[in-house]
Parts: sequence; C-alpha cells; structure tokens
Amino acid sequence: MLRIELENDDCGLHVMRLSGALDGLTYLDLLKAFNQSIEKEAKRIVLDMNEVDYVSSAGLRVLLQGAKALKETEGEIVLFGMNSGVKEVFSLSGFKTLFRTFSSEYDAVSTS
Amino acid sequence: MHNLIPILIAAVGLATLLNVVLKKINMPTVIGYICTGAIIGTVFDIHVHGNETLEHIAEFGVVFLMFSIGLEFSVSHLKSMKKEVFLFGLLQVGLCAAVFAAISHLIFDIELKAAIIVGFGLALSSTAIVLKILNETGKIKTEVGRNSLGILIFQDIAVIPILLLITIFTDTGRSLSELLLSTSMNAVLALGILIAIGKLALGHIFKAVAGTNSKEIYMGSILLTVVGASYIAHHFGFSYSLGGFIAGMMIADTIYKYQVEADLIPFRDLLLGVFFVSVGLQIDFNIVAANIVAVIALGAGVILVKTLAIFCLLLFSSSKKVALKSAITLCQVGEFSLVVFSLVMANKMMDPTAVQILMVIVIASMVIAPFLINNVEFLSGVLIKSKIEEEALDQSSMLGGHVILCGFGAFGRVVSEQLDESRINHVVLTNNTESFVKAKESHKTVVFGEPDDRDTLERLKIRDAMSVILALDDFEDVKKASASITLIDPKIKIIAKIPSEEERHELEDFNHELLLDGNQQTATVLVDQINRSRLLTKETATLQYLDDYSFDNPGETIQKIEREQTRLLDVISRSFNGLREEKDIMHIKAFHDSFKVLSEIIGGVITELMSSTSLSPKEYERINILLDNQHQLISMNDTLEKLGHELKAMKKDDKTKSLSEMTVEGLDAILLTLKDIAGDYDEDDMLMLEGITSNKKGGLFRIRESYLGAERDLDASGKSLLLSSTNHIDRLRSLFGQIGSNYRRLSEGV
Repeated sequence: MLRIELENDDCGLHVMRLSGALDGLTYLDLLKAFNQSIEKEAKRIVLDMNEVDYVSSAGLRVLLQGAKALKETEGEIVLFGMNSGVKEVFSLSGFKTLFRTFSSEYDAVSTS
Repeated sequence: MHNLIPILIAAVGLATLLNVVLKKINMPTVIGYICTGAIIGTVFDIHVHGNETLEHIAEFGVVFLMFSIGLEFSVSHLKSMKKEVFLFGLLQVGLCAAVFAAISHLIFDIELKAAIIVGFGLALSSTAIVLKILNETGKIKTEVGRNSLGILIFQDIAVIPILLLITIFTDTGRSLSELLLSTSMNAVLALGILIAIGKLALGHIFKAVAGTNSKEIYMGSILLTVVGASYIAHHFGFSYSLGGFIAGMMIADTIYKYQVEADLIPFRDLLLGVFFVSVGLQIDFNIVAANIVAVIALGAGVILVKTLAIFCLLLFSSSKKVALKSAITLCQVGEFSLVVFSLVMANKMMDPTAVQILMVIVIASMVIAPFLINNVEFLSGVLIKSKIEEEALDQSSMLGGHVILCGFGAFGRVVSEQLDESRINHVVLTNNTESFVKAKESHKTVVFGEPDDRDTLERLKIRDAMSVILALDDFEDVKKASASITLIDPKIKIIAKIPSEEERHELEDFNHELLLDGNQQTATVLVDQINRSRLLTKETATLQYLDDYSFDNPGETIQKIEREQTRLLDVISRSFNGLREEKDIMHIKAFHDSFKVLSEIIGGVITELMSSTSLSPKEYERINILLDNQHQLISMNDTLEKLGHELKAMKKDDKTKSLSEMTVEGLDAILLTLKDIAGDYDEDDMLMLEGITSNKKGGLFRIRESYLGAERDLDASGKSLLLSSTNHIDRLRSLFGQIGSNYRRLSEGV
C-alpha cells in the first residue's frame, strides 16, 4: 500500500508525500502520479520519503522512468528524508549518482 | 478344402507387401491385414463363417490383446478408472444402443427385438484397432486414451449381457429368471476359479518358472495361463477374451508383469494379424457391389451418429476438443459386433442380406478407423479451435524425459538416491527378485524384467527416455544390454559403469555417453551428467530464435544469436526472483545451470558460425561484440552464483538481513534497465545505466565502512562475508555497464 499526497505550486514544483512501501504492487500508483504531474507541466518533483519504509527494484525503475520523462523538459526528481534502508538500496544500486537526495524538505525544495 | 500352403504363402506375402507400403506412408498394419483377408477370400473363395478352426485361431488374437490390456489393469488401476469404465462406458453403450435401436425400428422397420440387438451391436467399438493404435502412438496415457480405454473395457464386459439378451430373445424353452440365475451362477463360478488361481497359485508358478532361467518354460507358462483362463471363461458361457482379460489382471499385480508382456507381444501381434485377416475374409464383394449406395450412406450415418452421441456425453466431463477426439477415436463399429450379428443371422432374427450389409458396414468402419484415429488431431483442430494452453497440456502428458536405471544393486541404489535428490524421474529395471523387493520397499518405480530385453525396454519408452544407466554388476550383462539398446536405436545415450578401464574398448561400438568405474563418486558424476543433459534438452527445446538457423545467411543468424543472447538476461533475472522469493539454494542453482547450458548452446553457434562461413568485416566485428558479451554474461552468472550464497548467509544474521534484501532489489533494478537496453536500445536508458554503474564507489564504500564499524558489531565471519559480497556487487555493477556499452556499439550498427 502506498499513499501519495500531492502539493504543487504554479512554478512547476510538485511535492509528493509518500507513505508505505514502493514495490511491485504500488509502483504503478507512483507512475500514474508522475504522469499527472508531467501533464501539469511539473519541472521539479520532490519526493518526501520520510514515511517510505521499503523500495524494491520495481520502485527504483519507476523513479528512472519518471526521471527520463522529466529530462525531456529539463526537469528533475529529487528526494529527501530517506531512511537508512532506502539509502542503502540507493547506494548499492548506484541510483545515488542519478538522483540528488537531501536530508530536509527545505533543502530539497530550495536548492536549484 | 483348399491346399493350405499356397494360400498361406499368398496371404503372408501379400500382408508383408501391403504393410511395408502402408508403414512407408505411416498407416497402421491393421488395414494391410484386412485388405489381405478381403483379397485372399475373393481369389481363393474362402469364407471365415463355418470354418471353426480359423474362427478360433482368429479369436485368440483378441484374447491375447485383452490379456495384454488386462496386464495394464491391476484391480487398483480398475478402481482408479471407475468413472471412465462404469460411468462413461455405461452411458456410451446405453445412449448409442438406444439411438441405433430407435432408428432401426422406427425408420428401417426392423422388428423391435432385433432392433435392440442391432442397437447394442452398433454401439460397440473396435478394441483391437483402437487400443493397438493408442498403444503404438503412446496416446493411451492421455485423457483421450483414458476415456477410450475406459469405454472399451466396459463394452467388452457388456458383450456378456448382449449375448445373453440374444439368448433370452430367441430361447423360448427357458424363462428369463432361469437364464439370469444360470448366467449369474456361471459368472460367480468362473470369476471365483480364475481369481482363486490368480491369487493363490500364479505368483508361485511364475516364481518357480523364473527360477529355472529358461525362456522356453517361461513362454510355455504364459501360454498356459492365457489359454487356460480363456477356456475356463468360455466353458462357463463367456467369451474367450474376457478370460484372457481376467488372467492379465491377475498377473498385473505380480512382479512378472513386464517380463510376461515383453514375451507375449510377438504372439499377440501375430495372432491379431490372423484376426484382422479373418475380418477381411468376411467381406463379400458381391453384396458390397449390389448395395454400394446403402453401405456408404448407412456406414457414414452410423459413424456420424456414434461420434455425435459420444461427443455429447463426454462434454459433461472433458473439454470440447478432448470429447471430440475421444468420439472420433471410438466412432467405428467393432469386432464383437461381428460376433453379435453372426448370432443374429444364425438365430434368424433378421433378413440375412440385411445382416450381411450390417457386417460390411462394420468392416468398412474398421477399415476407415485407422485413418480417422491417425488424423484425429487435424480433424478436431478443423472443427474446434482450442486454447493453446490446453493443447500444450495434452502434448506434455505424452512426453518422456525419464531415466531408465538398469540394476538395483549397491551401485544402482546410490544412483537412484541421487536421482531422487535431483528430482529426476526414473524407473528401475531389474531381473533380480531380491533387488525388486528392495526397490519396492524404497517406494521406487520398479519393473521386473531383463535389461537386455528389447520389448521390455520399448515398454519403458526407451526412445523418449533422457538416458539409460547401466548399473549392472556383471560386465557381460552391460554388454548385452548395450547391444539391445543400440539395436533399438543407436542414438539412445547410454551411461554405464564398467569394472575397470580395460573393459572400455569392448563397448566402443555402442553409443556410450559416459563410462565410469567406482561407486559413490561415480554416482555423483553420473547424476551431474544426467542433470546437464536434462537442462540441455530443456533449453534446446525452449530456444526461441536459434531453434532454426542457417549459415547461408550469416546476417540473419547473427541477429538470432543477438536475440537469443538477451534471453540469458531473463535467466539471470529469474535467479534474482529466486533470491527474493526465498527459494532454496538448489532451486536457484537450477537457474545458474540453465544459464550455463543456454550460453553453451549460443557459444557453440557463434564458434560454428565463425569457423564455417566467410563473414564480412562488419559481421566479424558484430560477432566479436557478441562473443565479448558472452564472456561478460558468463562472468556475471558466476559472480551472481557466488553472491547468491553470500546473500543467503547474510540473511540469516539480523545485522545484515536488510542489506542482503536491499542488494537483491538494487542489483535487480540495474539488471531490468540493462534488459530494456538489450531488448530495445534507447540512448537515454544507456546514459542512466552508465550513471548508475560508473566507477564511483563512494556509496558502496560508505556501506562497507558503516557495517565494518564498531556499532554494527559483526563477528569475523560476518565481516569476511560483507567484504566478499560487496566486492561481488561492485564486480556485477561493472559487468552490467560493460554489457550495456556493447549493446550501444551493436545499436550503432557496427
């Protein structure tokens, strides 16, 4: 189960607050949310990972797909608030080199 | 009386000639025999009716057939098929008899009693033809085979009440109750005698006979059993063949079943041939010529009505296609119908010409039957389109892929245990009573018989077997069995244990895949070899692109290699899933072994292509990239196999459990990206893959540092495991990147 709450402003900043597991059962929900944001011309998607306890390979792939789609409009996905397990999977897979990660929401939103 | 010798020479010569031609066009020999009978009967003016000796000889063909069917039918087997025999059989005979009786009485104005007998007669199908073809084609074990066999068994039992019915309709001297009482008493007596002999004496007789080690005495005892049982049944008013069937059932429960069957087959087939010739002799071409339109129209009508009736009743329990295939298989009228109609004629229940027409229809339907049964797949496919899964299921039940293990001594037992551990389906064949008992006690599938007996080996479907293992103590037995197997098919792979290297040259003429000496170690190597062969067969069978390639078109073959190679990534992906789903290590090992075999096949085609064809510089460059990919993929599989063991071990420790799980997810994510690139190249995907696999070890170093630090408190083996696994993760990431780069070069049209 993955809950997604979306907050967006008029400048193309979309903050998605996720809670639950991002895995083979839920990745489509996030993909749908990405597509809706891209349709609304999102430039920067900020993922609040504070309440995400698990990310599987399917979850990582959907992040890649989102990043690929946003790249066409020179947008990006950034993340903050990852727990140690999620950080480990990012480090092990090398995804840390593709996505900028922050410790606080303020940094994630304000750093350009 | 005709001079018998020229007739015999003509009949045997003609039958041989016709059957050679028929075999060439893949048709059953039944037709050859019937045609021989028809031609010989016309030329020499012989008719089977009234020739009691010929009738009896011919009938014993069916007796031996029923005996061999009985061998397949132990009492427990009959219980397991009670639905097919007693439900489907009863419904089929009842429904078809009612329909044909109604048509005969209402449309053809045949007197009611005669119409009922005609109905029952036409309801019967040909056990001799149907079972012979189903046995020959191995379809007896399919659902269609089970349905057909069950119904035919019931029909054979139903012959008794049908014959009784004729007696009731024509016997005016005795009352119905008297007839029923005497028949019941005879049935109880006949069954009682046969079962008592079977249960109490047969096992002991065959044990004593087997102890003499004389084939001659063994054959004599089989003949005595069959002929004796059929005589007892006949004496009490039942058909000879029912006696044969019960005798077979009695032996089915003993260990001598397969050996008896193997020794019996030449007799059975020869006598069945005589039976079919006798069927042909009954064709009177004058009646056929005079009533040709009626014969064709009525024959077609009978086949259609019977097909429709069987199809409708089987629809309740089988799929449409299986119901139709079973209906087509059983749509002909059988040999017992000829007996029924002969009695109708003898008892003057109907006009003799009408009965002759009926008999010609029966024979015509028997001639057509092999064509219909052999083309049942095509016919049912035209009429009903079924789902692919259903088809596949039907086919798979006919596949072999087992191992035949000859011998169950000390070595054979070790081999059998290891085969069980590797979950390889195998059947033990032994001629030693003690070994047989031991195998039975160990719940093995075991058959009592000679390992060099070709018929026994054929019964065990040696042609479909993955391999034959000769685990025999006596080297002479190894040689004899090797010779028999080579005679059956020189391509069958044999694995044998030999006493020492000196004997190796004596087996050079046979197709031995492996010759070994020693015991425990031999068994291990041997089972590994079998495992490998099994995987090779499986992977070869599932090749998607390289199942068909030609060196005449190297460009196309290179493309096929490229596609097949991407399937190696699928196999690796499945092993990731195995790690995630917590499958046992043997299960995951199977994926790695599968990978090795598939990559060996692909590697073989690459080498063959490079050595047998002249390639353009561009094609050489392309194949060089594929060769490099091949090396990287093999390295990836090896690394992953080692990492899999480490991750399993790490999962057992709470301190490293999460890391183990995250590693699987992280690496799988990279692999999925690589699979996308391999399947349909996209530069953006490639750039991402480059990003995540670039040699920036920061992340991995930090994880290693944190786990090796004091706060995690890992013991020495935990630390060693962590170091080794992170090295393997690093190696895998690098390999993913290198393979991705190769796909980029291929996409650039090198």
